[in-house]
Amino acid sequence: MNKKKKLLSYALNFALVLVLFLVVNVLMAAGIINRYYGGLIMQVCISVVLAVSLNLVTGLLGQLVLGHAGFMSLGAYAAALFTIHSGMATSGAGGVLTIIVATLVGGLVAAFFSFLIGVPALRLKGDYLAIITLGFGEIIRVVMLNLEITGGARGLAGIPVLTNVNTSMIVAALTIFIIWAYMLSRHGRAVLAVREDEIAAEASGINTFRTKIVAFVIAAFFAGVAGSLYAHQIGVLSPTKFDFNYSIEILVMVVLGGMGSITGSTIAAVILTLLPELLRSVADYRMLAYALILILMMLFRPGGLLGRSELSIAGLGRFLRRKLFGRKAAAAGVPMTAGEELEVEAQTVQEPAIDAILTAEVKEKDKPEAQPENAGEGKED
Amino acid sequence: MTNLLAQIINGLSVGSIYALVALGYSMVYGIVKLINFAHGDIIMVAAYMMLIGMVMLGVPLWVCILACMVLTAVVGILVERLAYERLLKKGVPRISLLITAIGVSTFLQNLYQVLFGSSARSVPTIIPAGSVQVFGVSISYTMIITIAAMVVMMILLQLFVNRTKMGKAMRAVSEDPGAASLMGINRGKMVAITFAVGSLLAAVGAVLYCATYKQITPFMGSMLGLKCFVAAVLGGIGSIPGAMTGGLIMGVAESLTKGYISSTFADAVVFGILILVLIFRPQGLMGRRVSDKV
Amino acid sequence: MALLEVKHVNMVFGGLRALKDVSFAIEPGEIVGLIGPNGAGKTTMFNVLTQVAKPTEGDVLLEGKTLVGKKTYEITHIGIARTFQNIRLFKYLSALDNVKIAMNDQVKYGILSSIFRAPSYWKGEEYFQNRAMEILTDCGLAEFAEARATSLPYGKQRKLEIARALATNPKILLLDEPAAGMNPTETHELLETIKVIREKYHVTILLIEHDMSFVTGVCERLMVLDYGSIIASGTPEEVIHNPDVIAAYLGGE
Repeated sequence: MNKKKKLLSYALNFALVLVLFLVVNVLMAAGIINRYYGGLIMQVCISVVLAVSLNLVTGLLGQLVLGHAGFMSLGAYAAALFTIHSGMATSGAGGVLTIIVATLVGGLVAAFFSFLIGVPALRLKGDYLAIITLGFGEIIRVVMLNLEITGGARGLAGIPVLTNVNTSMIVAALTIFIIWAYMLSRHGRAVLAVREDEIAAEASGINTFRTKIVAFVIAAFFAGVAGSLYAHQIGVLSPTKFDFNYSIEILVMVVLGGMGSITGSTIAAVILTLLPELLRSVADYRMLAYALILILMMLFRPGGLLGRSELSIAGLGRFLRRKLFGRKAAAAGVPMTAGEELEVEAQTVQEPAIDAILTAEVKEKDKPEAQPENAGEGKED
Repeated sequence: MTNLLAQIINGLSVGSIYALVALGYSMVYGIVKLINFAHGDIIMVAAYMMLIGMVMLGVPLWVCILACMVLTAVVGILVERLAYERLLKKGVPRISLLITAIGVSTFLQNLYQVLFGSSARSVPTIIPAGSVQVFGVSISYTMIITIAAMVVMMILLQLFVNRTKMGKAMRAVSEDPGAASLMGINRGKMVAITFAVGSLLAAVGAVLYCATYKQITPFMGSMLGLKCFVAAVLGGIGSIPGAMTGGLIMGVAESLTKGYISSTFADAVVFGILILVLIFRPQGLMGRRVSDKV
Repeated sequence: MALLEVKHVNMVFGGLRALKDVSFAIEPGEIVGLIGPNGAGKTTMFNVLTQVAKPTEGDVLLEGKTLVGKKTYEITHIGIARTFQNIRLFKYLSALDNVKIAMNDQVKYGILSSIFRAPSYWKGEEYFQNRAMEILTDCGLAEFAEARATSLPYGKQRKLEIARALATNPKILLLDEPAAGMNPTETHELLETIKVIREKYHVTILLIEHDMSFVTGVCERLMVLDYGSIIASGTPEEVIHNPDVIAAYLGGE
């Protein structure tokens, strides 16, 4: 895969995002997307940012984080307080600048704290990150409940509403792009090496501690970004929003979508944000269902819906071609078909790094092999 | 001075409950290298058993306590068999086990919330009120019995692990699973027994918790579980005396924080302790440093 | 000056002395075999050399600089690469990525460069691609570049480990039982590969192996480790006829 093809595929994906963006804007102008749907889109985008960033640490790096909502909460409060106290403009073009700066502030504050707790937890081997982030999420909630500046249990009100559908969509797209670009680089390969085998990674010259801490901090940064979007969407913050259950909800998105699949996390985030809206009547059982999803997925389909593979236009093209023209043609790539063009141009995630582009069909065949994921890892103690 | 002493004794009493729960974490971690997040919620399950037995069924207290211990052990085995066994056999990555554990924990919490509602329930008196005066400090019967119960359980556990065949087999599996299986020890069975013993101790902890706090909620297990896991890490994970020491230290530290600093930040202190331990003595007070096999 | 020097290394686990006052030196360009009965301490020696295990006493020097106290990945950067007795590939990544990972620090474009796809990113990736393919080709693995590591036949997996180790640009390569579990054809292929890479990459090799025909076929010098001590050292011919070595292998006291 040469540089030219890659650049073409980037352009194509960019164009697709642009089209989506335009469609939503046209629908909004036409009044088909009303305030309620607009709010849903923002929620979906926030979930996508959260799920994709958590996927970086938990799916791709293989370290369990149980306090993603805690980092989101830090980002939300930091960004909201910045907007309230900085005296920057809260409307028009100035408002756009304000939310950009506030969101960066939110992300950086979350990243800073993740660094502080990541250093002691990740220096050691073992599952300390899970427990330390779990604890951190709980403590942050208690602290936010008791601080003067955050409004305590009453919550923080009067945050200027600066998030709109477009900002949230742009942030979600940027998050996906940045994490994807990170993964398809030497840094991303190091992340995957750590997940696969830490000892072998270290012996191959990878500074595993550094790799882990950087990925963890990036993930927390985006959780903070999501927090800022949320704060400026709702206008009111209460610590109870960011509880343990919320962290679990984000984890369910990652597990359901496929640990290690960026597109999987994105799709799962969309579904799991919209579904509860449709199923309001059974809201009491939502967390119960999430818990069951976690357990059953681990028992019967640990790879999640997409496993470690990514959806892409090229994969779709290949899939269709196989359906239409049979396996041989697809394998050999002989006849130029309509799908072929898509395949050549649209290949975005084709590099082997993320075990690219298996369609549902291929994956079924892969399953028995994929199941006993690195059997050695669990036994090595 | 008397205040300090009172705080310390109070801390030892709370710490005794922590110690009993910490043991479950420690033993399970020792044998399958899993942070069993659901362990905290097992205590919650046991506490609701006490509630059901005493309030809804009106069973005599001692029957209630015994039944609670036995049934909680059964719940422990069920959790292991239904959720973990398959994964342990397959040798999946650690993260899959952890996610399952957190799933079980969330499941239990929400199941009990659906069944019993999320508000706190009162538990009838288990240990009668009253106290004795020692050096001008009044120590309630509850505290005395709690500390005594912990000591008794600890002695029984030591005897079980060191003197009985089953206990020795359990230790063997946690020292070296490969060698143990060559000696004909059934690892799966030992894992189940470990879960049972851990849950039984948790049940004792739950009874004492009910006696001390007199109120239970479906989510009582999460913060309690976290504290007890920290206690296990502090003492040295895998070590029985370590879990006891860790639990007592945590109890006293928390009690002193509540007494002299602020009760809202007592939980944050727990977290601070965890970070300090991880930085300065990750193997814990009584644990051994283990290196990876290459 | 010797390339690698081991000076009076002792290694104690609990009450067990796995290595007893081991000293040896390896000259640049040598291929040395480390042999000995099971449990003699060979893998422990490798772990000490790569600092996976810190020696209880003694010193390990590469080109006169001590390695003790360095992190494993630093040792790799300094110039010692290894393979593992029980294969430890990055299982679900392609053969190509396995090799690229080992070259990760040879071109250091930053995180921002990769996010913005800066020129340094493209240049770096081109280097990784070309260099990795070159190494795979030299190890006879070019056709497997895109295949998932675990899908390779057993013998190829062992070779991929060597390719990965080679990709770190080592001065000395430590191979832990490279021929274990291989059939005669595979063993023969491996022998050829080792000769090729030695020629082309000017790498010094220290290997542990049980297969005596393999060892005598490739090594110029052998060292025998028994109960944690080196009991003999010399050409394969000398070592094989050494009475102490025969006694060690036949279980004499």
